[in-house]
Amino acid sequence: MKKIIVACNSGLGTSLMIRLNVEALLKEWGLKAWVEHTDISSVDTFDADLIIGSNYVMESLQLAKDVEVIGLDDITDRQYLKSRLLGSETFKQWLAM
Amino acid sequence: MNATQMISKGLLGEPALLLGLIAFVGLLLQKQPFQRLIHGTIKTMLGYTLLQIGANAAGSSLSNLSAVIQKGFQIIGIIPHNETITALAQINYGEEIALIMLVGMIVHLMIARFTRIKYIFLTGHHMLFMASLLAGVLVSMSMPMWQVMVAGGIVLAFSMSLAPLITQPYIRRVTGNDDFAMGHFNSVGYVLSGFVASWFKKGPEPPESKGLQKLRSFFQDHMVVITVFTFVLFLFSGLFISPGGTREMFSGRHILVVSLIQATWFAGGCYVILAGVRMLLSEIVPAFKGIADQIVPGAIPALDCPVLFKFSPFAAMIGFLLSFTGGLAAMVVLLQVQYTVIIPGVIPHFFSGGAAGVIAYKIGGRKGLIVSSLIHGFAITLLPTVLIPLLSNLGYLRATFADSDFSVIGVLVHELFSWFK
Repeated sequence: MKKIIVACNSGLGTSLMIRLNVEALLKEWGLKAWVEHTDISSVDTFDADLIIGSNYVMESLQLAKDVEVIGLDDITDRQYLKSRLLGSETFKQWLAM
Repeated sequence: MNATQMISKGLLGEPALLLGLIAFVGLLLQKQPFQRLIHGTIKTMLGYTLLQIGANAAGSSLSNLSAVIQKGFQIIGIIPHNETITALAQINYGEEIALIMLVGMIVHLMIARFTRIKYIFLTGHHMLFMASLLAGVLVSMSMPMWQVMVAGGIVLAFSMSLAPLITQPYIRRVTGNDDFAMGHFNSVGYVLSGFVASWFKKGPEPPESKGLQKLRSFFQDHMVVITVFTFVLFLFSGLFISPGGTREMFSGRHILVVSLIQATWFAGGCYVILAGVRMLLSEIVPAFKGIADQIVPGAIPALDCPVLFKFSPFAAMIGFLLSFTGGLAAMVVLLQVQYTVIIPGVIPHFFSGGAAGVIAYKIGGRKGLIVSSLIHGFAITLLPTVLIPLLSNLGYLRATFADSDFSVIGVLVHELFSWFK
């Protein structure tokens, strides 16, 4: 199963909101994935396929592994999130399967 | 043990079970499959237990820090940190807090359903913090359990509806629409910030410098920030005690080693608390949102304050730095007049100060940002001092609530209910 990590500073509010939007979109597309939200200190402890978060939080990430990261300019707009997900390599492969 | 005792002492007397039950009912209402039901319930209970474990770790380091500050400066230093104070309150009042949250969510949904205040407060951790504050203040007034639950729940519900309502005129000027509102209990601070900024005129927006970007990037990782800040605080305070004094306090170890270990111990405790809160809320918030989506058409979601940062990252960073500066000024003032001093917290100033900075900048430009952020930081550091005596029944604590609404609501509730008695 695909693993998606949504991260924000404390891993409490913002990341949970984005996660709810991601989950709603996955449901819309009929895709199944493991989605978790967390703080940015812990991001590297997950073996994720995709990492999502606001742009300025993602900029500060120092990842050990090579994994696709989506930095969002707008963290509230679901349509924008949708277009960003559809444009990502991970989702392109995934939807082609 | 009869049936009622079984419920009051066994099932509901344990906050972990009570919260598990709330999650269970929420998931049931959403018609989730059985496996998900069990999963969500257990994770909620686990989250609560993590909270308690983290509170013990953070609390032990905090009391050491307090001892060092007290010995070094002859003052009592209190750190405003929502997560820690909430976790400490949970140890004795977990049951009250869970029930206040439950009643609060129901009444808040009713307000949104039946009045024109259509905000749905989705920042779950602030809901939990406010419930903890209300439990602390109300229990100290020796009210019976059911009154604490009803009164606390109603006050929580109203604060969840009114905080977005009073900030929305300013938020609208930042975002240009009503797509979302501010669901963050620093609304008094945001209104103050917007009000002060409205004395100034807005100029053109400067680009963000490289240095500022680097600094911003550093402050994103909380665990690192908390560790560094606590380390500096320990070390600095320790320098005012004789080397013999610190060795005596910490069984012969050097202050440098003690500071490093205690700082990581505190940050570690905070991390466990955060993990617990996250686990707890990742079940309850979606359930709450799911119910709200069904019963409140046209609701405006009230979200956590970092949603404002993208409207001007520059102002958020300057807002944080100047808010913190204002906080240091407030600390110096407190030092002159009393024994108990609030040590400005990096995390509340980063979040509340940052968001307040964005509001100030969008309304009053550069001058507005500077003046408003300094005043904001000064005010939110000074405010918790009125709260400390009201939380006396939580025991002798070295932490307190950080954001402005907690102090304002705490004092208002205390005044209101003392008047009734």
